[in-house]
Amino acid sequence: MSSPIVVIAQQAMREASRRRTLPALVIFGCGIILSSAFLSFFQLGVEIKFFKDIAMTVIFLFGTVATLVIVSTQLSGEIESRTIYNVLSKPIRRWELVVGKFAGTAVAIGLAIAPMVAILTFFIYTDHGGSELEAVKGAYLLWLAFTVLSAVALGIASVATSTVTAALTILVFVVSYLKGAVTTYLDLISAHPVVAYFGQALYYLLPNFENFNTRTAVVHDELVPWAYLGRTTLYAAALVCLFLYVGIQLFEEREF
Amino acid sequence: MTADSLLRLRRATAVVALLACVAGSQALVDQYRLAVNDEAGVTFSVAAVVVRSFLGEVRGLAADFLWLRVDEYQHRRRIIGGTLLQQDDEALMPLVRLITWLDPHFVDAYALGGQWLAFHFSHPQQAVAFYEEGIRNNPNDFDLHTGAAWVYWRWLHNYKRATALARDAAGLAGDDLERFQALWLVAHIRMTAGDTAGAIRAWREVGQIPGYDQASKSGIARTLAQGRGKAQ
Repeated sequence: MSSPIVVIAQQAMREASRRRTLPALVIFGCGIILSSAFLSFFQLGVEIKFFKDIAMTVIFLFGTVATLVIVSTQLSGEIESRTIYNVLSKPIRRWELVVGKFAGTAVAIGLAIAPMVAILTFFIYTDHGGSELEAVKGAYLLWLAFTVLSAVALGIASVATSTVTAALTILVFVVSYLKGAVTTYLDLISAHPVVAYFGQALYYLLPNFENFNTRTAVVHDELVPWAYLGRTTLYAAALVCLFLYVGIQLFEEREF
Repeated sequence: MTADSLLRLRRATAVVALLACVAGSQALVDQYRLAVNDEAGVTFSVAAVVVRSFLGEVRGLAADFLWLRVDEYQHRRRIIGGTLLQQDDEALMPLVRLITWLDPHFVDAYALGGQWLAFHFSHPQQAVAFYEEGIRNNPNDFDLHTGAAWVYWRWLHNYKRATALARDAAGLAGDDLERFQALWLVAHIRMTAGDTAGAIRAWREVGQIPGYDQASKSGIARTLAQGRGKAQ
């Protein structure tokens, strides 16, 4: 007999594939990547750079949208449609529900970006445009970013509606990218040690999605060290644990 | 202590422990960021940090599209009185600057910007500053080394730095033609500096490149003739 987490994960994946948004995003993303491979107006010698840039950005953008679409409707969708009562009446613990939803979402997003990554590596191979392995490593790191984003969204979804979940998740995502600008600004306006510590705390404690960005390395044919991959995986695992833990605790407190 | 407050304490401890894990793993990642993420090893101005932060992960693509605009504008520059209108070039420079902020490994933008600053706008100091920034961000690029060497040689008459850059370029050359170009530059810079022996040494190195024997011989002959001319 399968564990409740596996059952919920399978259910979450089925639900994700049933929504028309996800296949539409995948087809649209693949279409953009494919069409960019045949654009010939770029300068000689930089076509492959442009192609890799476009492909990595499309994977990032469509992956982010797919994550938001899937996750923001998973838990809060169940609560809003009141199907959560039916689910919780079964012998399932609440943490299993949250973890199962997370696992299903992570796999669904991985499957969604896989065709886009396949097209990217295929054209890198046929155009001799660098290492296919580095592109796969870059895509893996993007997938890690989407899993972290899923955990953030699930954490928020345990107490918020689907619209609020989507909005707050986008906010966390944007703030994570603006962190560099904020810390630089803090350094500029004050040399006070308290301000410096605050900047450091922001840097170390808020999610840093820039860690998952290896676009430069992929595009400019540089190596992404395996040690970096390992450490970033650890970082993603720590963030996922944090947000899922907070989400589970809030969800446990909630009365249905 | 009540069961409720014990639970709260347990939760707070778990959150603090997880935050410590996040901070610790970030510190571990930071040790390798230099090798992977371009922003880690490059010193940006505040404006550049803000622009890059706002564009997040799409900045590479933004740089590419700005480059397409530069390419498009470049072919639409107006000619007035037989010369290119300088305002059209000046309008392109902010785009080039923006591209290098967004993608510090976009060597074509550095090469183009440096060339324009020196040869179109006659701002050699700004040109070498731009080139040097490009070289710091892309230490293995041949074109940036030779471009900077040209400006140091022809505009600033800083032969020592020009020679050093051209020598570095010779070491970075990807093929025999590039190696010849770099050594040709070294030979000419040394000759301008009045170092005939240095110029001949460079021409001899040219002779070691397969197929460039004749170029080496004529270079040495020219250098000796010029040296004799100067001596007289």
